[in-house]
Amino acid sequence: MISEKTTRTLSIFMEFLRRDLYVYTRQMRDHIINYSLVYPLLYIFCFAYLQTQIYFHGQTYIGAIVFTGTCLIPLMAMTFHITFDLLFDLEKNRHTDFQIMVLNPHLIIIEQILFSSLFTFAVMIPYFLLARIFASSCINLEHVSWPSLYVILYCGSLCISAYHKLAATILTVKKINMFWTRVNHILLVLGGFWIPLYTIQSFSPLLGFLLRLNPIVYFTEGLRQSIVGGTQFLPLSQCIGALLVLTIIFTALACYFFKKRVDHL
Amino acid sequence: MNSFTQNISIFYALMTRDIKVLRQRLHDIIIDGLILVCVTVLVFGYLLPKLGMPTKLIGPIFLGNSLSFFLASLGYAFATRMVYDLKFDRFIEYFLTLPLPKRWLFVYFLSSFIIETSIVTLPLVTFGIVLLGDNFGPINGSFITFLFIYFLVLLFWALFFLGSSFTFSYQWFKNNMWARRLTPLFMLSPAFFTLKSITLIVPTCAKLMLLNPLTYLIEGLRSSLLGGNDYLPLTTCCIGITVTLVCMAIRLYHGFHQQLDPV
Repeated sequence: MISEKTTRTLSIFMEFLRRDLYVYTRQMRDHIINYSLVYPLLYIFCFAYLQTQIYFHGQTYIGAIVFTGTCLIPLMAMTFHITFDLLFDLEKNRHTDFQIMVLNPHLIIIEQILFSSLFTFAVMIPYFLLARIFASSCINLEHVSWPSLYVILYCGSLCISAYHKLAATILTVKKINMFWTRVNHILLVLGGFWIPLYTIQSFSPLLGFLLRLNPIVYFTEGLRQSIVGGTQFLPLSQCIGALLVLTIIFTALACYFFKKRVDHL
Repeated sequence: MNSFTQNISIFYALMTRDIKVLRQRLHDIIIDGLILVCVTVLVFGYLLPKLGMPTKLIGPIFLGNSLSFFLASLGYAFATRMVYDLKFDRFIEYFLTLPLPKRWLFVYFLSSFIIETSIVTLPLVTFGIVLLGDNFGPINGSFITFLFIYFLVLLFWALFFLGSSFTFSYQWFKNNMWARRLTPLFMLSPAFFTLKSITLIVPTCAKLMLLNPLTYLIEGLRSSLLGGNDYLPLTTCCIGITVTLVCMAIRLYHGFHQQLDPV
């Protein structure tokens, strides 16, 4: 039997989820235009169509490998946008103070990560569908495994949401630009935005080894495995496993730092 | 009415203050720039050619995409500070109460951005070219012309971002600036390619790209430093940039009045 306390906690947890949904649904139109239409269509034109023709002389296989990673920018921007509202709140409105009075701080962080991952996933769903519609002649999308693509897309959204939430609990508003340049930019560009891990490994085995510590690599490798397939990419199970383990680590650390930041006792 | 000398002395005091602030931030900005340059050199100079990208595109892409992206990042940070100030801190009111005509204020904001950005980016661009070595390709242009175009490029970004910070609300800027302004500007321009290579594949799109101001800035930088016939002629670029600068100045003027002068 579920105790009364657990039921109450669960109902508050669900209310907070509904509250987040209400708040972000009001901005939904902007997000859909930006992340489900503007980014995918522009990237399809630039990276799927022009890049494949000009850089790779129409090799649709390489075109697909390179284009796959480009969804990282809208995905990271979207999760950043949602998760960093906590940081702005901590430095200004302190709505969080009300939330921690009625729910355990750890559950607040888990709820926010869960919401961010679901919202980002929903907004990112059209990305590869649009590529399939508009770019199938310039990038090879014949071997796409759609179920595994969406599984890895959700796992990636979850892991990056947890990672950004952890950053939001540690950083201050003034350090956001620095965070993007010194951390996110490096993780993103060397995490397979364009270049797959096997190319980096052939260029420098040491760099390839170090990049195994980059969570983004597991996401892009998983995407490439689902879209292009082949032994040159990391196996899907390894990518999903790594993303879930990293999500747990980031969430635990985010809970710890959040509690430390809001609870002075 | 202030005399010219009085205006100059206030302007000088403001610039001195900005240089002092910049000196404190310079360390961080240079580290950020070094990271951007190193990552760019690694990706465009070594990794993408391994996947099949023609090496003759390395130099043009470094000048077109990487440098412009770096300038846009610095401009975005500058505009974010301004937008935030307009919404919350309102330090701008201090500037408005100064006995300085508004045109001088515009010039002050623009000069401040141009000085800061050129101090940071010029050495980093040189460093990037040195790092790329032979991969950068031959330099057949003139450094003096390049510096002139570079100044126009800086002026464009200063006008563009200052105008944007006065035109858009804080919320709009935060949510949409990258997605609806900067990303289309870059993706619908020859930032990642050369206009000539796009013309060979999609001539109509290449012609449409002539409507994008970034096309003239990017091709102008390439044409002035790299030389040769692979880019838009320098005269065309200069005309395009001048028209763009006039449009941006008008936009800034209207934005400023809309935001700060309701009378």
